[in-house]
Amino acid sequence: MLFNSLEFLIFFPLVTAMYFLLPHQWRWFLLLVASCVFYMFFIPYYILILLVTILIDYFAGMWIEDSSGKKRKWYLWMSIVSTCLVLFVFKYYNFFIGNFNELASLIGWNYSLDILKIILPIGLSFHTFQSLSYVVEVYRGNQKAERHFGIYSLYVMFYPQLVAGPIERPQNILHQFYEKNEPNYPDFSRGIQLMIWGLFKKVVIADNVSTMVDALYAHPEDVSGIWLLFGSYLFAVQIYCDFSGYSDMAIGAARVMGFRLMENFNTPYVSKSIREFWGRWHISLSTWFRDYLYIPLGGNRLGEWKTNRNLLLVFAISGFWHGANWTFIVWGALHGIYLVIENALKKVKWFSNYLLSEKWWVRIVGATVIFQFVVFGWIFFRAESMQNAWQIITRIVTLAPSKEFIPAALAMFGPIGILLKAGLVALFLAVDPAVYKVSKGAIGVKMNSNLKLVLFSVLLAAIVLFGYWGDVEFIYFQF
Amino acid sequence: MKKIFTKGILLLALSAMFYLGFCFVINKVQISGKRVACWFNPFFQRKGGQEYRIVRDWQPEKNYDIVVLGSSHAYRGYDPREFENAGASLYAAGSGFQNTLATYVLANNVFKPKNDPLIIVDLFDQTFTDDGMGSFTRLIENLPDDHSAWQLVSRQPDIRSFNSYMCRLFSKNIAPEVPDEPGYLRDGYCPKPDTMTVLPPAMSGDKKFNEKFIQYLDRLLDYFDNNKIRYVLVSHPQPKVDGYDVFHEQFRNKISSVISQHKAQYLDYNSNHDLDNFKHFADANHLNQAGVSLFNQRLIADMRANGLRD
Repeated sequence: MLFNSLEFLIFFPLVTAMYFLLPHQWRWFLLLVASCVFYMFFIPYYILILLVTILIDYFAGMWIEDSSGKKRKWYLWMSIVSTCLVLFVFKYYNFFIGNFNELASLIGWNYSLDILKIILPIGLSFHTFQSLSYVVEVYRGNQKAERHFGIYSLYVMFYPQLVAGPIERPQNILHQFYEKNEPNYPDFSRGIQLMIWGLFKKVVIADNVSTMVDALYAHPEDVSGIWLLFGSYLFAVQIYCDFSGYSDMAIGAARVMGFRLMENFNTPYVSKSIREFWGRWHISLSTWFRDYLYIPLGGNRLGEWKTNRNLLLVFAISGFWHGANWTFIVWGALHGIYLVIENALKKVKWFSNYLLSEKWWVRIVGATVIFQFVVFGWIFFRAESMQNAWQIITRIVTLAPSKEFIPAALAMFGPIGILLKAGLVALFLAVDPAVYKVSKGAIGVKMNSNLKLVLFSVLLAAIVLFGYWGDVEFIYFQF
Repeated sequence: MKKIFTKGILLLALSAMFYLGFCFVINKVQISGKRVACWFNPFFQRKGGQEYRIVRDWQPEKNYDIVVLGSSHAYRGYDPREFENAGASLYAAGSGFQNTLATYVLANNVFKPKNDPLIIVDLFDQTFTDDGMGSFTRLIENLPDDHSAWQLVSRQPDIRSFNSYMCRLFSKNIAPEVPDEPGYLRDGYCPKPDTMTVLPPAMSGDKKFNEKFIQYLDRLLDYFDNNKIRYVLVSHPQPKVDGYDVFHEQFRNKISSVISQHKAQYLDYNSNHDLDNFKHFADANHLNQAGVSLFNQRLIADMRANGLRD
């Protein structure tokens, strides 16, 4: 089920109302059933795959807790390997086979393996990582193994964050399923505000922009370099609004029922360094990689060379997590390289002064520069293949011309339509940090409640009227 | 709890007010001669074009012998002059990518002749594969009365068609913003003058059919049967391109139970023709005038042979 669907408009109030009406001891069961229904809207029988992951890590958690020494470690690795195996089969098997076949033909070896004709289960990477964080935390002793199978299943399946995160940690969410939440105005208000803001970002900004990005990227050979650059900037806005919009809706939907999910985005495009960007972009994933891969590899404790190695490795893997394509690996590795360079630059005085500066104009200049690097990375993320990415970059860098001033791909929008959409994007970028603070109820941000009501009414009206409402899924669903 | 309820109602009421305000502004303010609404969203349609023309040129009191309903095939593939030569008057009531749900609404509300004409329902397989929003929103903006337009909204509840209906209400008294389709002749007929020069790409992969439109084909035929309206189903010729016939066969399988249930006559010319891709077709989906003449003569002969015409 999509958050931006008519079904969800019925599902959400119904589940929320039933949640508060039911006695506390039955609420977990309602949420679990609701989560199953939510998931089964995509491909119903794929819920069995989810069940396999749940069973593996549920038992692994208890076995790890009940054992000691080598056996404990063995259970952990058994759990990690088997959970990842499910991910490998569905997400990465075809990638490796495809590369193997290409390599075989390159060396003249007349042998090829068949690829699997399967559809990737929605949100598989997300709930796999959430499951893994559970077993690791139990192993580390930070979390007691969950003995209640229903509650553990809910930890993996909680519908607001089931298919695209935030990737939760057991310490943050598991205990909340035991707590009794009463309906209260502050939670309801914050939750609804976040849902409205998230939906606005998704259907008004991201989906409207996606029509132009898709048109420009479909045949880059016919589009001039300037327009491809414009398309790349638009994609940066699209992916931010699409994904952070989903996260806001997820956090908001949970908040209405009294649950607090972790923050996933914090206006990332105001970052004045790549390090800061990763502290603001997909926070639940970047902290996952930090806690479960970067630090176990040694983090920054083993000298400069190993720190750089760890950064490159972790970011390349993080790219691969996003998709089984070389473009994602390059995107991840590119951010690793950015961070290695940034670490090297920290030794230079002006750069460390720049990072410490709190002057507003330094923030604007810095964020503008960092945005260019991030957009460059997004070209790989959006491209269909490495050749496609290279073609786009070449046309941008050489300012390749095209026959028409407005590319044929955008003719359907007309010059005014393009300007209107570009204006809307610019307006959004200008107000995003402020609305973010208001909707999150950030400390120190006070807004008259009536004014807030007017603001969110305007947004709700705009969602209905200006939302694209076509058949556009969330980009991160594919991961 | 009371606060949640009161504030919730207030939020919805204020949103409705702003919604109406936005509707007013985007339909009253124009940029470069076009309503802002139409610049912004592809589902806010401009008034005019074929959808506007077919409902304005339609004369219910005129005793048409044949009325053709359907997609662009219906308004580009049936020449009233050819049928007049054979002694029958014809009205081509087709509109762009019209699906069976829209056809059902039009047959029930708009194209209701006083006499007893033969209805040709042109079945274009590809119209069964999309969500129909492009066709719905163009018709919603252009249908002559609000009731018919609302029928389209209520039968396919979707925010896009609802928004389109609201824009219709705010742009009611404006003159047509889009001219007639180039080459529009009369009685709904609008031939395509071009000749195809490049073969269209092959059709590949399985297409998913919109079940709702299959159901509405059934309802449409129910409506004809219950009201004793004579009809025939026709599929217009398509160019011979790889994959087209495979897809059409899938379509035939999909609708076969509906057709047999109603014992409907179905004249299928999709690939059953001797027309030349380059001489007789204007593009990937439409015949040119030479192709229309040949197709119509054959159709008239087949209709006679099947007892549909004297």
